[in-house]
Amino acid sequence: MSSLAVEFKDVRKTYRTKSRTVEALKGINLRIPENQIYGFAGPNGAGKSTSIKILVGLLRPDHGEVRIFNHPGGSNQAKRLIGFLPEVTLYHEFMGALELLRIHADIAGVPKSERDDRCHAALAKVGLDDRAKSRLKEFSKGMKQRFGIAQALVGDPKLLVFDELTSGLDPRAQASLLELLVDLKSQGMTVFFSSHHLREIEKICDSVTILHNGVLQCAGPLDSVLEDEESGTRLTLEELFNKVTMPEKEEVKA
Amino acid sequence: MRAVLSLARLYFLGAMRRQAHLATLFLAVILLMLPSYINAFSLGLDAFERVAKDFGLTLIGYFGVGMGIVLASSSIPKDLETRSLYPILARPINRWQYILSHFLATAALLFLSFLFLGLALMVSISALTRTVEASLLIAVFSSYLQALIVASFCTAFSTVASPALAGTVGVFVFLIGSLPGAFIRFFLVEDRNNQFAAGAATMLKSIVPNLSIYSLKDPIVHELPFNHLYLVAITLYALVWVACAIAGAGIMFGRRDL
Repeated sequence: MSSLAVEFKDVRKTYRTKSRTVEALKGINLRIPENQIYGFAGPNGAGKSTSIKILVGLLRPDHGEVRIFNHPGGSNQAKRLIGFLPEVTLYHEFMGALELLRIHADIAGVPKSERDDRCHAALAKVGLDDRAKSRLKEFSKGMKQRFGIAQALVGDPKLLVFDELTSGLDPRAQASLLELLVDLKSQGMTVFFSSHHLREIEKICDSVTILHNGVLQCAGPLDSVLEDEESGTRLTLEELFNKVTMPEKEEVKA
Repeated sequence: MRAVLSLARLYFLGAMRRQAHLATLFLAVILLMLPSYINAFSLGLDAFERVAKDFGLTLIGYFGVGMGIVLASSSIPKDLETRSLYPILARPINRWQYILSHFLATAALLFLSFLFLGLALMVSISALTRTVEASLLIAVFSSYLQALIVASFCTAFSTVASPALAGTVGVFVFLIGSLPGAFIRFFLVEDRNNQFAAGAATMLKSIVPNLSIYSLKDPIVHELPFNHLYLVAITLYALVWVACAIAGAGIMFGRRDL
């Protein structure tokens, strides 16, 4: 049995403002095996970004624990194993791709002697090696996302975390990024990514989780999750998503 | 440390891109012309040199503090707004290191600006007096230390407050810190007998750094005797306050949800 890349144990998070309190995560338990592509779906406001921020150490849970390859979530040991690309990031666009990647390599703790090789390798992996000296402001959105993946890869992580990776990209760029994720998995990495595009999750993921109102609705290998026990048929991910995230609609129908 | 310096370089280049140095260049041009103008209006009196030095150093001091406040108050909030800090803080780097890198970038930019302005003033006055006025750089350095302390407070507060509020804190620290104790005693106690206001001002003065010690303009302009060990003492004083502000910012920012 493969070991766990990520483990959430009863993770809770509540946001408090002056006017209201929002329970973003209501006790999440999640186990992600190593060397898988793991899809993370849910409607807006379900708690996906909160979960991801807790995973990469940007937020602290109010309760519970996260472990990354058995290291405490948020610790520098755990962070060394993660490559992260947030949903929307405005990079320092006046810099060249290689120049900015070198800075990310320094922060990731890459030894100076290996730095340039690692940066070139990361750019080659995402198909930007011929644009190493171009400034980021010259890049298209798809190229910026590719650069984002390169910055996530430069520290040689075991776990890649992508928030809404393909959001706002044209179909060709989306397909090309998905191919890249499959390739990264074949190189031994674990990929955890959130998306609103259910078809892409269904197409490339080994396992999936659907989160709704801060509660895990279902989680596990794609085949077993999509198996509908009531009808004995296989659902599409979209059908399952609608089933678990729209109970109010069903109540109205009934 | 390599991570901190690397990030500091990134933020330094970012600040340069915001063209903060253009304001420095503009002021440098004014400083280069200043002594000639003052000389033209001095009607042959030789006091122009002191007036030009005094006016130039005052300009540099206020400009540096203003620049420090603007740069330090806005750099971290800008990162938060653009979310460019997310992939950085997801790396094995502590939040105090991230704050330190921002502060080092501000400190480097301020240093270059003060140096440039100090040299511009020195060259323009030396050209008229025909002597090298290197002592001006001592007064400029003390103004730099003052701006550094104010900037460290702005950096600290910008981790939890808006740029406007962090900037206001910087102005407050500068005003209260520069207020001479004699001013409080004379205007609030002896002249107006306002014990409450005097008590409040004294209390505020005791919790913010004493910036009046950085006023080296008078001894330099009037060529009064000056102990150079004093410069070492005020440098150490500045470093202690800066370290306290950055450590405080690290604690505040470390607890913040991003």
